[in-house]
Amino acid sequence: MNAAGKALSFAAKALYYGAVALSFLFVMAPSVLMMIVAFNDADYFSFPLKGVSLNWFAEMLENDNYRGSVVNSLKLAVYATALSVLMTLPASLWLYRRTNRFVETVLLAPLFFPLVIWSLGLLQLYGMLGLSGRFITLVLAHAVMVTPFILRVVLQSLREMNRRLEEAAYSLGAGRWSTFRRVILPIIMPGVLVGAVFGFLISFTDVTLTTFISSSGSTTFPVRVYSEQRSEGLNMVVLAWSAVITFVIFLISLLGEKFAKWSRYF
Amino acid sequence: MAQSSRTISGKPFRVEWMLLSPALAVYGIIFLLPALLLVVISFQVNAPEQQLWERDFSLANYERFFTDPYFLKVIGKTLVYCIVVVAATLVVGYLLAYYIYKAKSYAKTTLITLVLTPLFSGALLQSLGWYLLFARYGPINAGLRALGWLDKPFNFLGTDGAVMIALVHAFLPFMVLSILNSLRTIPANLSDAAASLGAGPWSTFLRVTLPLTKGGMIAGSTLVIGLTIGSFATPGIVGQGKIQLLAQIIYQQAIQVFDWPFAAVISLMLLAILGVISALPVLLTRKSRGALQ
Repeated sequence: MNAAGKALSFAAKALYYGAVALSFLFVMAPSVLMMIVAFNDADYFSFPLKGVSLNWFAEMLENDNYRGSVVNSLKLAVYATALSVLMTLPASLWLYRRTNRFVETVLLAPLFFPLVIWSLGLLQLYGMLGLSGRFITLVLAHAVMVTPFILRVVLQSLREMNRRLEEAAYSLGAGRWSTFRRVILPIIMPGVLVGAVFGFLISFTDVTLTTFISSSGSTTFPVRVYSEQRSEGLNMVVLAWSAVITFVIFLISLLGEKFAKWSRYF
Repeated sequence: MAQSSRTISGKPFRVEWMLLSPALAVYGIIFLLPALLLVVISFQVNAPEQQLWERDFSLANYERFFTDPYFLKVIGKTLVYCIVVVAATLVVGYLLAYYIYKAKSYAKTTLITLVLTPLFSGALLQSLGWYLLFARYGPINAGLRALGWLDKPFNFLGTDGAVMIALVHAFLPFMVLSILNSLRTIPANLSDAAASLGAGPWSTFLRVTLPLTKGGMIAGSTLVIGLTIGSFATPGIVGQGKIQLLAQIIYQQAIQVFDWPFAAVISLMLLAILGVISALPVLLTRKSRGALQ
């Protein structure tokens, strides 16, 4: 290669690595900034920081309003995920046994269906049934919202399972239920767990669906912050909570990728 | 297949359906019924005090949608957003996916985590981050002023550029993962084969890698278009109510104006647009395949 060619290939490499570095900076910028400003020693947002303090993290635990909405979010996400796992497990067994494109598409549909539209329909349905504002309405809606995420992972685990193990269990005289409980379930358990964590995070962070159908009393953290932000702006307690939640989600993503390689399920 | 036929069809029909029925029942009530309800309501007059079956039917909502230039403008604007966001996520997403794909395995885990974190932390937390970045006294303003490109603080919030950047950021992980997962299915020795046949790295990429990831790019783009058309929280927070996309209008009509029938019409139009767009790649690939034969 001549000198000009070398210079050109060096420039191309520099351009490539520069673009990659900038793209990663872009991906991380909002999360990183949020985690930094929560340490600000001032009672408003400012950049650069006025000083470093942990005050807002202490304040965050004392403020009952926000803590209550975080607890609501956690409860909702746990109930919705549990309900979804309960209906997804049998459904995925069915789909694994008899491949049915139509049923699979229907069950995955909420993934591709715009949430706003579905939320609008739900709002009207709940209104007609006189159920508006009840906690159960949120649990049911969130359970359906997270089902596609859980179904995909569980179904993939089932399809990756060695079919002979199941056949061996039957030929050794195990019944349907005990084959499921003692052979199939232990094998697909990592997939079920990964799916459940996916579902939990999707439910915990949802704004759109919850904004439409929740009542103002029992709302979740994201919806509370969303509606407050639109009317009164941001306060430091919200930023502290957001920083903590972002950090926890970062840790969960890291563990999930390290131990379950869960990015391949997307 | 004697074994599997015993485990599959040897079981009574009723047990098989019991596995599926809880999910189907919940979906029927929580997912399908609301969608049907929207169709019915879109053909009714707005009379919240009456029960669903008492209201008069009318086509006025559709007429209003197609004659009022405002709503057609919002559709146009939403589609422009889609094009910009898909184009940007394709370019940046491919770059990131390719770099991650080539990275060593220990670095891979960390890099994927960096991409997954914004995905899992959801629209709200990420748009709060962008809200701070773009704020009058935020880091972007501080940086531009330090460089001397701005004299006084400029409020980027509520501009199309800011909302587009935040949306590109929000949906980028979906594109990265779609492309990364299709890169992962390429046999490793394929690029060696291309190299041994005399292809340089650039032409290996253009003629081997890129065509083989077309599926991932199409899947990612379809997902990103759907997400952009339905995006709600990000335009709300970064756009500060000044940027009205379709989802925002639906919320406004339903929750603030209480015109449910009209909100239903906008929703169905949004769905129709989405249906046409998602069918495009299927139609196009069918056509090109037909041309080959």
